[in-house]
Amino acid sequence: MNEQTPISSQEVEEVGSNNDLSSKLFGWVEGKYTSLIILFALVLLSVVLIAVDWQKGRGFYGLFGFIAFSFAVLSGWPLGSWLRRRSNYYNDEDEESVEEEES
Amino acid sequence: MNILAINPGIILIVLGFVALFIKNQRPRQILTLIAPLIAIVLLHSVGRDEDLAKISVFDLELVIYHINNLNYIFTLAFLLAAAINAIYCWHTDDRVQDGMALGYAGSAVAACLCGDLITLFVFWELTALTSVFLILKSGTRAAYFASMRYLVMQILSGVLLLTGAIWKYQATESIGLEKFADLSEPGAILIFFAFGIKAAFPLLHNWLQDSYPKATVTGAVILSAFTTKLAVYALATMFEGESSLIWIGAIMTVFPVFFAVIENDLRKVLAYSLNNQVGFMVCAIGVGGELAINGAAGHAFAHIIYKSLLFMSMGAVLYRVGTVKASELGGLYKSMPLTAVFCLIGAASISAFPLFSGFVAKSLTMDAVLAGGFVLVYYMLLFASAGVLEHSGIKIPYCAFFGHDSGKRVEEAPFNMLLAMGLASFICIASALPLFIPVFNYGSFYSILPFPEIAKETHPFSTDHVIKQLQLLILATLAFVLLKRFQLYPEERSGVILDTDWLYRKPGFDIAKWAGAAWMKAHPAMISVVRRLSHSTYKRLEQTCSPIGVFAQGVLTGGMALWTAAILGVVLLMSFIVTSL
Repeated sequence: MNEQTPISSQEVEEVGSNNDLSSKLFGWVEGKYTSLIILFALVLLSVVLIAVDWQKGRGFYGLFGFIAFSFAVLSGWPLGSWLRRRSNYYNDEDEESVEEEES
Repeated sequence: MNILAINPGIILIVLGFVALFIKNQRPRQILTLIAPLIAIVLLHSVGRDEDLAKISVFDLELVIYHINNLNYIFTLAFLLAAAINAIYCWHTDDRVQDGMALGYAGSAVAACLCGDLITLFVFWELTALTSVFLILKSGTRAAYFASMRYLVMQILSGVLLLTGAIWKYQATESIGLEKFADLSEPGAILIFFAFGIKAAFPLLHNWLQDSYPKATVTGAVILSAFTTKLAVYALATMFEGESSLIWIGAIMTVFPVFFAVIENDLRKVLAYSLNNQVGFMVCAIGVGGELAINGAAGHAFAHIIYKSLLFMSMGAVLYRVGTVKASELGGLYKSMPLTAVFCLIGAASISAFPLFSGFVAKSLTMDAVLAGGFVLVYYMLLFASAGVLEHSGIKIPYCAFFGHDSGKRVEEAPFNMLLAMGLASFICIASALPLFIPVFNYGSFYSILPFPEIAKETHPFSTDHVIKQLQLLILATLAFVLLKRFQLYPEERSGVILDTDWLYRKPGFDIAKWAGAAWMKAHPAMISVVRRLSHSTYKRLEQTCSPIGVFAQGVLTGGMALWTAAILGVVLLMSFIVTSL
């Protein structure tokens, strides 16, 4: 048996979700203001971490992390348009999988 | 025969071979689970720093089994990964995969525990031959081509290793694993590149991103644990302090960040991330010294476990949903909440959040690099740390389990997969807790490092360490939230991202194809020219030298014979005079 045989999309839709456990563990994710709360929590935490280290490091590592992360992500725009090609660019994919992906 | 004197890796290889012929699923899987556990017991039953098994082949003395502090930690990590993988595979019934996975683990363990280059070469090649089946068994056309490219690179690595070993032996009459002082020593450069291919040095890295994402669900997990870390061990043994490794490692940490950002296949993102993490280890080996080697070995141990965990979580997604394309996933926490939790633990570990294994392991390397005075390299590693948070810490869990809800509702991963992920998660946390937690703390982890006394002097939970790391991670996460909020984060899109393998897969392949076509056309014409030339040459020779030829006619034949006899006579006379003088 090929273990990687994907289950059909119909099967995917039919199978139920783990509602109880997922809502207990991650129900908070669906809250209306969750993203805002996360943003403010991160800002607050960042301010605290920089303040604690201000005398010694002037928040250098925080600033470095912010800039490095932004640079890596933003470089994705030009790199993506430069390096991305169609799925079967090397002509080695099975035709079925390519059609599925494109659809 | 004393079983304690048998390299545990060889036992795994033999049992892996036996597993190939056991048709009954459960007995075979029990064997694949028990074997690494027995090997762990055997590993702890013998002393260190002595040759436990040696054989003589021709005039060479081969050290089959030797344990020291360095190979011990790598072997332990390999065996734990093999045992966890055996649990992860429990739901599948595939003799070839079970047998080859155990054989692959055994080859890596045996290579790690041997004490000479020839034995290393044998098991080095065996890792290639056994692991290729884990890619092939995927059964897709792309996997077939990728496995062939994988095999070519792995075998090339072995050939370089053997050639280097022979060169070294000719010059020094030694095949031991002694450290090279520099790359100009006999055989050093070839062995360096042999290790470099398996460690996926920049420009030699493509086999990794090409093959691992195309392996089977379980194959990718086991592949992620062995080959590259075996190379890290080999580099640490023979090239510790080699300065070029510092820059090679630093580049390895940085360049995959840019590819991982735009890659849509999440298992390929993990493959780039693997490259990035191995870069930290390579860099530490280049720095050299006890602290840095502790860093490389500790990072390898932690990495084997958390990278397996991340590959397991993506494998579970692939198994249930049928894809790991970021553009087709999202919202899976609703269906696979436990897998999501384990993935988050793996993500926190690789990102080096305090209380997770990456933090206590990586801080050793970072300290060693800074103590060595490599400031620019330190900043490169710092950039790579922010990068790894982006692609493995955030992108993997966010795209698969959170983000835009793809509407896909599937079953949670099978129990055995969850159990395997749970065990790996436990190791990730238990090896990184502060010292006031009994037993399960970083002190236990540091005690198995190659230089435990030096490790004891390192305090990862110092305020300075924790604040620096948290600043980096929290503000980087803030950058992610802001970039998402302002829609500056590039959208996940399907497609292939070109890497340097484009050179041989497109222009290289096209040139080879053109040369083939040109040869097919030129071949008949060339054959005709050669035939005509050879025919006319034969005719001329026949006209001149054959019994009916010019030289065979009339007086000239007698003249030739006379002259030949005269010249021979002169030569004989001169020889006689010269020898009698």
